[in-house]
Amino acid sequence: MSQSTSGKKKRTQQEAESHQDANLDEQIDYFTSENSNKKNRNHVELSLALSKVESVAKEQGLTSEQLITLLDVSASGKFPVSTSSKLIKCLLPSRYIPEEAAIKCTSWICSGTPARELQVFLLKWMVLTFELLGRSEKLHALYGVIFNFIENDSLCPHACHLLYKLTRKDDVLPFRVNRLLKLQKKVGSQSYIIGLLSLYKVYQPHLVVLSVPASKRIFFRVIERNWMVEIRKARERSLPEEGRTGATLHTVNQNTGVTQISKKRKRDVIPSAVTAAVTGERLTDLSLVGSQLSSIPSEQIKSFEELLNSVDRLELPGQIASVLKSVVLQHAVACYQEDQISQRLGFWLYETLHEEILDQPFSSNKARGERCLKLVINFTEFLQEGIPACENFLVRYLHTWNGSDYRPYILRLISRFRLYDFPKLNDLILEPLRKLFFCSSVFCKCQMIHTFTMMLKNFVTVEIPRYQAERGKGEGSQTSSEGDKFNISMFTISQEEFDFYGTVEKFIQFVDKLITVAVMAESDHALLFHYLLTFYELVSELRCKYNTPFVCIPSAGIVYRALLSSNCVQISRMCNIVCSYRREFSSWKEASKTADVWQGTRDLIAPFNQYILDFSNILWRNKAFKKDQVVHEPFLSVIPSEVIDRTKVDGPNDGLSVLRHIALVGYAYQFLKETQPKNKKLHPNLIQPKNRDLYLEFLQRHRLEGVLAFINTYIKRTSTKR
Amino acid sequence: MNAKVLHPFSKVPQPQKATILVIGVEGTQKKQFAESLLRINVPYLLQIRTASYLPLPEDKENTRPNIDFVAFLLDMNNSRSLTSVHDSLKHLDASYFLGRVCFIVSQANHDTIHCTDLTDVTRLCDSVDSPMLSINFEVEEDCTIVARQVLQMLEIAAGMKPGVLPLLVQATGQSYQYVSGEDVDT
Repeated sequence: MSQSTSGKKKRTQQEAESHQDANLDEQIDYFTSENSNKKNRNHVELSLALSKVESVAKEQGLTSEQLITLLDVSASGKFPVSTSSKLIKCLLPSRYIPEEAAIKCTSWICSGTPARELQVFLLKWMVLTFELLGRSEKLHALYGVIFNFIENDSLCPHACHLLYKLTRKDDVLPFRVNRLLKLQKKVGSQSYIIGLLSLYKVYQPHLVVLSVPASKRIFFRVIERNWMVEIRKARERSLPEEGRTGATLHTVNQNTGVTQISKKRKRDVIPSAVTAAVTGERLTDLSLVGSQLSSIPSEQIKSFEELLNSVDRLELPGQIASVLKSVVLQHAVACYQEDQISQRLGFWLYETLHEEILDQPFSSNKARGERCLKLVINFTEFLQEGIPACENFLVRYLHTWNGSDYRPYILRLISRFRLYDFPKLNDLILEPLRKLFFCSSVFCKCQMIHTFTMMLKNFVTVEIPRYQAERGKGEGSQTSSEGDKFNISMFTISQEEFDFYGTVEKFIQFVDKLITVAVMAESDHALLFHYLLTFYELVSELRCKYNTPFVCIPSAGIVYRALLSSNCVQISRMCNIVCSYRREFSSWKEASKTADVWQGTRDLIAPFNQYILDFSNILWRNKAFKKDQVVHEPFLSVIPSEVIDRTKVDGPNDGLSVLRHIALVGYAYQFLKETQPKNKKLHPNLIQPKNRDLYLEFLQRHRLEGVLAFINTYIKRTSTKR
Repeated sequence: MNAKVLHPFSKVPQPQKATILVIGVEGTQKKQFAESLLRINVPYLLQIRTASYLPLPEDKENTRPNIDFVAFLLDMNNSRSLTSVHDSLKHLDASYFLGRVCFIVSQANHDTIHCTDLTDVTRLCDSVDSPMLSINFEVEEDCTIVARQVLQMLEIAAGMKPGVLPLLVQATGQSYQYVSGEDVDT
């Protein structure tokens, strides 16, 4: 029942509509017919037709054909000005205005047929309904024509407004700027001319020198309030239908108009993404305008798929820095590889960082600087390379850095620093860091060593492959195609040739020296040891994992400090590191036959063998202080035997073995407690040679696998029971 | 031994005692810096001496302790502070420059109000191979940070870290004089 009534209702509505349509067409016919009364204003038929058209247009809007017909009628000057102007006000579309109408309108104005007053009306109509235009490409092609309207005093304000909405970057040409400036000289500084000029300035700052007083921020005044209201209604009519395609999303954004953005900028370090094509005015209805534009404003890109679909037509935001906020736009910027973009970004970054961090004497409000740095770090991590402008800033900042402000952020940025020739790297980054390293607390030292580890990782994983790819490209060899995936540097930096592996080796030696002294100064701080062992765990894998032509070994100061430390984890990890060097050296030896590796590494084999011998003598063979050894000077043999005798230690040579080492004796006790009967007096010597394997497995269960790994790797145990 | 030249080992060092000499012309806030040094708890006896310039007066030679570390205070606003430090350096024994000297610069980040160029100061520090620290006296926190850093260096200089000498610390660095392209142009 209810269905049928609703169906009926619908039908009647439709009938009414069709009836109205027929009626409207009749009225329009009246306007177009030749024999209707054109002179008398108070003619009944005319006023009836006019009121009919008005009411329909305001309620439903006109179709495209009706719109164009009525436009022709009103512009042709067939009727008196008052009637025509009323008609123009009725030109409200049901959905959107065809571009043809706007072009016709322009051509009518050019023809000079309509009266001056009507020309103004037509132009106003174009300005006000600009947002309702289906597309504006062809109209944009008439940019030069419309620009000529500014010579006409009465058309000028509206022409400026229309141009303001139409202008794209390519339109800003020196001669246009000149003409506008000349005009300004003639008629005085009018807000509409300033408005247009300021937009030009946004696009081409080098062409326009202009300062806009804050009081003159409203460039274009809306005079026709009532008309405006009608047009807004028409827009609302067209919106719900377009809403499905996502227009509502954008209108939400648009409600936060230009005025709010400028206020926000005062608070926010990073500007929000606003494309220049739609800045200026209250943002136009992007979904209507933008979808057909040749370039797509970046605000419309909300997801990665959208970016992929329109990556060739994307127009970047007017303020390049706003890409820092958007992950999607970062992808776009990174894949463009245009100098202009990276330079814009670089310039902004340097200035902003300088302003936010260096020029803030009273570092009371660090939140802004932190926010800024966080975004820069995000972007750097995303690019996987240092931003040159940031590096310039870092170098300047490190010079006077107190080692405390923004420390985590600054160190993060440093860890992505580019690879340079070592003297340059040393002067720019390492020397200032070294200076701070020795006058900072142990925790700060740990952070710095961690940074060095990250730097080394960055060098071997990202920087060197990139340089190799670049060099390969220069030589035109085949490696370039394979290396292209690394060669995605966003920035073009001219670098003189240098030996990057040499830099890495010197860098490792530099860090080695630093940590050797630091460990002494901080008397074997456990946390410090953790970080330096992490560093060496990376160094001990360089040859195998990253194919470096050399092997770097830790200096004796660190190796023996770890061996004799009272911390079992340090011993175990150092054993592990020594183990992985076996793979390193054998890999190097393998490669040295084909001779593309550094021969200098050969000199390291002897001292490294010394390490191994000392380790096995001290930990396993109970020969810590004995002098009957094969290679060089054993480490502990420098201590005269009289001194050892005087200590009156029972069995000094056993004292540092796996069983009795100060760091491991606790485990030995634990092991015995678990294996020996109760009430038995425990001594490490109770662990018989045949039980040593059990003990080593016990250690492994307690996550001290390094000791076992070392013994399995380096010590041939022929006698043992396997 | 020339009495006008200060030597790091002219007198016998005392155990658990560290002496720092703070040098800077009037207006470089020596006192404030010394106070921030004293505010930090240390497990040894810290002595702070201040002077406007070197050489130190000879008549007080007897009462003066052995000086382990020298800190020069510079003010970027005060061009006299730089020239004075320049002159004072002549009266310091060369062995001080092996890790027993540092330069503390205030107002280093306010480029606009500098009356001396920061590069001049950097050149001075590089010429004697000693570190430069930047301090902001208006922020108390910053004073404390710099004071801690100076104390770290002082502890090494006074031999409180077993096995570590100022010379050893100095040896970890390599003094390359890298000149970037921009510097050559200007």
